Amino acid sequence: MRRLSIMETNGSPIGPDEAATALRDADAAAALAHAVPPWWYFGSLAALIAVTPVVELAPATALGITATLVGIVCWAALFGLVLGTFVRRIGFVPRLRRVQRRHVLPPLLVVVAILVTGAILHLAYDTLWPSFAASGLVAALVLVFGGVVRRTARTRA
Amino acid sequence: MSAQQARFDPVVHAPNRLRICALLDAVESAEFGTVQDRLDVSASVLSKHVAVLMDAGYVTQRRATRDTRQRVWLSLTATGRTAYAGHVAALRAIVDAAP
Repeated sequence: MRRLSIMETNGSPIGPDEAATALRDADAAAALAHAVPPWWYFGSLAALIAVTPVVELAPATALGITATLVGIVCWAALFGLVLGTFVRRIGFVPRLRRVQRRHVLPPLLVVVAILVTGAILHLAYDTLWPSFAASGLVAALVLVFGGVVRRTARTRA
Repeated sequence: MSAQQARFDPVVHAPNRLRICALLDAVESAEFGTVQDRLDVSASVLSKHVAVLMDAGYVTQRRATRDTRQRVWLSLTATGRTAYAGHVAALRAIVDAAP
């Protein structure tokens, strides 16, 4: 970051001590914007992920397709309900732009790899169990991730 | 943040307003009561400073009704985020320029 010139800093109405105090206060206030996510949040997300392959059980009939669409709408509504309840309980909407890419990409790649492997096995063996196994594994990872996030948040609090 | 944005902002600098901006800058939006609890200030004090920030165009508020209770959600505007970032940069510059 470019430093202000002496002329610019001389024009400021405060001295370095007050500026340092203000910076400390700002950092402390920013650190207050975190919460320990409740256990039910990760449990609900894991459950929603685990049941996703159920959509493949519906028969390829008009009734089956209708049931699938209704199921997807219900799933999306439940997902929105979980997120909405989470936001209302913690009292703020997290700023996702502050999340560092290196913290998101590795777990995301692992999840994609598991789901793609499940899909390939599903197609290769023409059976549903790989899809259920993959979504179940991702759900388990969400629970593990939730435990880590909760522990980290408690440590920070 | 780019260096050209470093700008001391008297509206932001008041201690409580600086803390409000710092908290709101860390989130997309926050519920009024949550900001009040986290910063440990009274509702009237928070309202007063939020009004100043809103007059400056730095903060917006959105009312949401839930279970018959109306809640106010606060968020920094793009102008507010820029002003806060510029003010923090100016504070850092003042500290760094000290002998």
